[in-house]
Amino acid sequence: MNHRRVENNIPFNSLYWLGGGLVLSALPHSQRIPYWIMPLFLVLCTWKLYMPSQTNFKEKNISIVKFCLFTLMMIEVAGVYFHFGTIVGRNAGVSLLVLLAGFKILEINHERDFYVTCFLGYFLVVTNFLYTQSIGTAVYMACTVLVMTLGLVSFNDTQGRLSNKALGKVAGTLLLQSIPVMLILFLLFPRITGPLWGMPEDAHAGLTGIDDEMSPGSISQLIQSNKIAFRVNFKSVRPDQAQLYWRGPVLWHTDGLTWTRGESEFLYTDSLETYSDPVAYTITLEPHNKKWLYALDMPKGNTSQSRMTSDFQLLTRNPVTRRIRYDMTSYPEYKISKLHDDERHASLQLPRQYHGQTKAMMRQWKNEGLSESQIIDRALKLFNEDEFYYTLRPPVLGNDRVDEFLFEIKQGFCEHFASAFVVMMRAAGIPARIVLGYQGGEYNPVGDYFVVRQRSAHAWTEVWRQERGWSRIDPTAAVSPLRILEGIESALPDDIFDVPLAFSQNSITRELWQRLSYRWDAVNNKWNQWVISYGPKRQKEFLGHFGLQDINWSGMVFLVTAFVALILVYLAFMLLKFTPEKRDPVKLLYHQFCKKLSRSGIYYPVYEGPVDFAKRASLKRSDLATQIKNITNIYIAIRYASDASQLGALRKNIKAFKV
Amino acid sequence: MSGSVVLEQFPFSNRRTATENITAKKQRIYIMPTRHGVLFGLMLLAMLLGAVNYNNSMAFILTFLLFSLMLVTILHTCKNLAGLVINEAPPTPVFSGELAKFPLILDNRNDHLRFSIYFVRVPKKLRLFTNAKKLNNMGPPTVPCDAKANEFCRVELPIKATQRGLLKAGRVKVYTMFPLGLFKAWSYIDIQQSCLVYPRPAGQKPFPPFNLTEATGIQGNTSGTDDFIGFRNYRAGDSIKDIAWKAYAQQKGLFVKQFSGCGSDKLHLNWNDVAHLPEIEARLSQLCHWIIEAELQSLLYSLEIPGTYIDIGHGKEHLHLCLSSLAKYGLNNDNLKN
Repeated sequence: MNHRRVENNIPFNSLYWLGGGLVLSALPHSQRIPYWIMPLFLVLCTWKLYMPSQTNFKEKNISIVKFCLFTLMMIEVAGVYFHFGTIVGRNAGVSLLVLLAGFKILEINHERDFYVTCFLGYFLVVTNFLYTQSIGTAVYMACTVLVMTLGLVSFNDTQGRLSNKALGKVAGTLLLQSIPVMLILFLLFPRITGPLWGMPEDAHAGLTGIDDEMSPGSISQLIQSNKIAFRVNFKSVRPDQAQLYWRGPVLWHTDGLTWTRGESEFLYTDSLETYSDPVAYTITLEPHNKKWLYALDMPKGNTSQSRMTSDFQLLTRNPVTRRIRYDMTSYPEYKISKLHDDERHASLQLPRQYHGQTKAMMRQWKNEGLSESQIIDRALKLFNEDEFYYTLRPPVLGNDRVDEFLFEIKQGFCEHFASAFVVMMRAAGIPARIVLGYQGGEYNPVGDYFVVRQRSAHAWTEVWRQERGWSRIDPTAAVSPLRILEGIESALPDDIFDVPLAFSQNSITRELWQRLSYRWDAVNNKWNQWVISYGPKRQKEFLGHFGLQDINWSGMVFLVTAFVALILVYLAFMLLKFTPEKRDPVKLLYHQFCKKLSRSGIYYPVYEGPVDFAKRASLKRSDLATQIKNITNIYIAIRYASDASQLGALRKNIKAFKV
Repeated sequence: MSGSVVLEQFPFSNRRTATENITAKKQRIYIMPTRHGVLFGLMLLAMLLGAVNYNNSMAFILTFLLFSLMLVTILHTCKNLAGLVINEAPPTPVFSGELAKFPLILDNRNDHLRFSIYFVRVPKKLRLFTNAKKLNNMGPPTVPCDAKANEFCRVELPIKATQRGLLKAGRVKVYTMFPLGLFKAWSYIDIQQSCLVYPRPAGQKPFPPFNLTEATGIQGNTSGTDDFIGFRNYRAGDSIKDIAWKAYAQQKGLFVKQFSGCGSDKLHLNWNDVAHLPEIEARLSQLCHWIIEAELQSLLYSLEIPGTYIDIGHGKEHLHLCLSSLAKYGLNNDNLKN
C-alpha cells in the first residue's frame, strides 16, 4: 500500500550482521564447491563491509562498474559450469548460490536488496542440510540463523537505539518464541513420501559403505572409517560376538580380479530350516546409497521395503538414501538344504586364464583322495599355520592376485583370505561364494544397542556340502581368531581409533573416553531416530501413541492448525496483555484531581504542565482558585522537589476538593 | 476536545485507560505482510518443497522455524503499536507557504520500548489501489520515532501550508514494521486539531497614510512625543533621546520610551487601502505584510476589513488577532468551526 519509500542508507551495523550470517552459512560449503569460489565470496563481502562508500556507485561510472561486475559474474558462472559440467546439480547449485549471495551483498543499496540478500542467506543455510544433518551442524546453523535474524532486527531498528546485545536479545526472543510452533509443525505437518521430482544425480554422493564389488583394498579402505553403518536394538537375547555376521551382498562371480554379484538373481524360497530360537531386532541403517539392507545370519521373513533372494540378500528397489529403520528376525542355527542347478553352476565359476597355481594345488589335493571336509580343513590349516599374516596394509598385488597372495606374499586382509579360499574351494569342485557385510559390533550400554561401524566391514565365505547345506566359513578367523571373537578393534592398531592423545595414555582415561563416546553416540542415536529419520512412517508411529494412527490428511491439517492457533493465542496473550501502569500514588492522586476538574469541563491535556493547567483552571473556576493552587503546589513539591513527606497532605486536599 | 487515540489490537479488549482523565478513542490496529514479507513467504514455500523432495528433516525444521518466526513477528509488530496513546497538541500558526507542523504526543504507558513508528497522511477514503501520485501529494512519512517505556515522545507531522485559512491534517496513518520488516501494523488517527494559516505576507506598497482624522496633518512615522505609553526593547536605529537612561542606569537593560499622541504611529489599516489590488488574496497579503511591519516597528495599528474591525493596539496577541482575522476572511463559518 505504501509505495513511497525513503531512500534508505543501509546502516552499517545491520550490514555487518548480515555479512557475518552469510559468511557463516557459506563457510561449511567451502570444501564442496570449487576452491576459487570461497575466497571470491569473502573478498566480495569484505569489499562491501570495509569500503561501503565505493560500492554505492553514485558516481558517473556506475554503469562501467556494473558492467564489470556482471561480466565477472558471468565468468564465474561459466567457471562453475566447466567445473561440474552442469549448473543444476547439488554442488553446482550450491556454488551458484554462494556466488549469487556474494554479488548480491555487494549490490545492497536499497532496502529491498537487503531483504533479498538476507533471504538468500536463509536459503544458503538450508542447503547445508543437504550434506549433513548432524547435531553439530544443527547447532551451528541455529547460530547462523540467529545472526541473520539479528541483522534483520538491526535493519528495522531505524534509530539505532539497540546495542548489539539488545539486538541479540530481541532476535533470540523471537526465535525462542518460534520454537513451540516449529515443534508442532515438525511433528504434525502431514508428510509425503518420496521425492516430488527427480533429485540431482550427485545428491547422495559421498556416502560410505560396502560396495557390491570386491577387489583387494576395497574393504581395507572402509576399515579406516569410524563412521556408523547401522545400529541394532535386540529385542530378545543377543547372540555372541562371534555370531554377529551382518549379511550384505553375496558375490558369486569373479573375473580373476574383481568379485561381483553376477547377473542372475536367485529367487527360490523353501530352503531355510531353522534350529535355534529366533533373534528379533531392529536395525537403524545409515544411508549408503546402495540397494540392499543388512541382516544377521540367517534372516527369515522380510521387510516392507525389500525382497529376499535365495542367497539371503535383502534387496531394495531404490538405493537407501535416507536413514531407515526395519525389524528383522534371524536364526543363528540354520540349514540351507537346497542347491539348484543354476546356483551350483554359478558357485563353481572360475576364470580360465587366472589362478593356475592354485588350481594345480587343489588338483593335487584332490588326487590325494581328500574328502570335501578334509579339503576345507586343510585349506584353513594352511592359513593358520603357513605364515599367513592378517594385516591392514598388505603389499600391492600384481596380476594374479590369488596366486600371488597364496604363494608369495601371504599377507592380507579379510578380502584376500575370502577370495583365495573361495577360489580354492571352487577349484576343488566345492560350491562356494563370498558374503560381504559387517562382523561384530560395539555394545553401547547407555542406549542399550549395538553400533556397527564401517571399520567392522568384513568378507567371509559360504561353502556347500551335501550333508550340511550352505555353511559359513570365515577364513580370516583361521588367521586372526581375535578378529572374530573380540571384534576388529583387537586386531587394529590404536591409531585407527579416534581416542585423542590426552585420553590414550592409560586405561582409566581410555575408559572415560569410551563412556563419553557411548553417551555421545546414544544422544546421536536419539537425534537420528527422532529428528533426522522422522518421516511419514515415524509420524504415524508417533500419532499412534495418542490413538491417532488412522488419522487422515484433513484430520492432520486440523490438528496442526488447532495446536498452532492455541500456541499463538497464548503467545498473543502474553505479549499483548495490558501491563498495568506503575502504581505511582502521586500520579494516581493527581489524576483524581484532574478527573474532578473535568466535571466542570476543564480537561488536562498532556502537553500542558501542571502550573499552566492550574492557571487555566483557576481562571475558569475562580471560586476554587486557592484550592487548586494549593494542590498544585503540593503536587509539584512531591513530583519535582522529591518531597515525599507531603503525600498525606496531597491526599487530604484532593479528597476534600469538591467541584 | 482535542483528539486522543489509543491503539488497540482486539476490538473486544477492555483495557482501562481511565486512570487518565481523558477518554481516549479506541482505534483498531490492522496488520498485513509487507512486500518483503510476501517474498519471505515465497522463499519458505520453495524451502518446503525442497524439504519434501529431499525428505530432509533439518530442512523441514528450518522451514518451520522461519514460518513460525513469521507468525511470532505478527504479534511483535502488533505489540509495537498496541496500547500506544496518541495525543494531539495544538499546532502553532504558520504563514501560507510555510511548513505547518502538527505535534503528536506519543504516550507510551507500557514497560517496553516501541521502535520505529512512522506517521504519514493518507486520504480519508483509501482504496486498495489508491494511485501513487495521490499518495505522494500527501507528503512523505515522518522520520520514524522511538517511544521509550513509560515516557512521552513528541513527533511533528509536517504539512506544507499552501492556502491561508484553517489547515486540517485529516487522516494520518501510524505504522510500524519492527522487528523484522516482514509485517506492517498500522492504524488510523483522524487529527482533530487544525492549524491556522495566515496569508503569505507580500506586497511592496508603503504604509497607507497615517491616521489624519483627528491629527493636524503632521505626518511622520517616528514615535509620537505627547503621551508616554510604555517601554520597549531597544532596536538599532532608535533615537538616543528616547532611551530610558534611568532604567539603563539601574542596569535593567536598554529600553526605549514610547509615546503616543498627535501625529503618532496610529496606523489604521483599511480594506480600502488595498482596494486597488485586483485579487482578494493579494489584498490580504498586502495587509498581512503591513501588519507584520507595523508590529516590528512597534506601531499602534488597527485593522478594518469587511465584517471585522479590530481596534487600535499592538503586541503579540493583537498581531495574532489581526492575522487570524485575515486568515479567516471570506471563509464561511462552517469551515471555521473546527
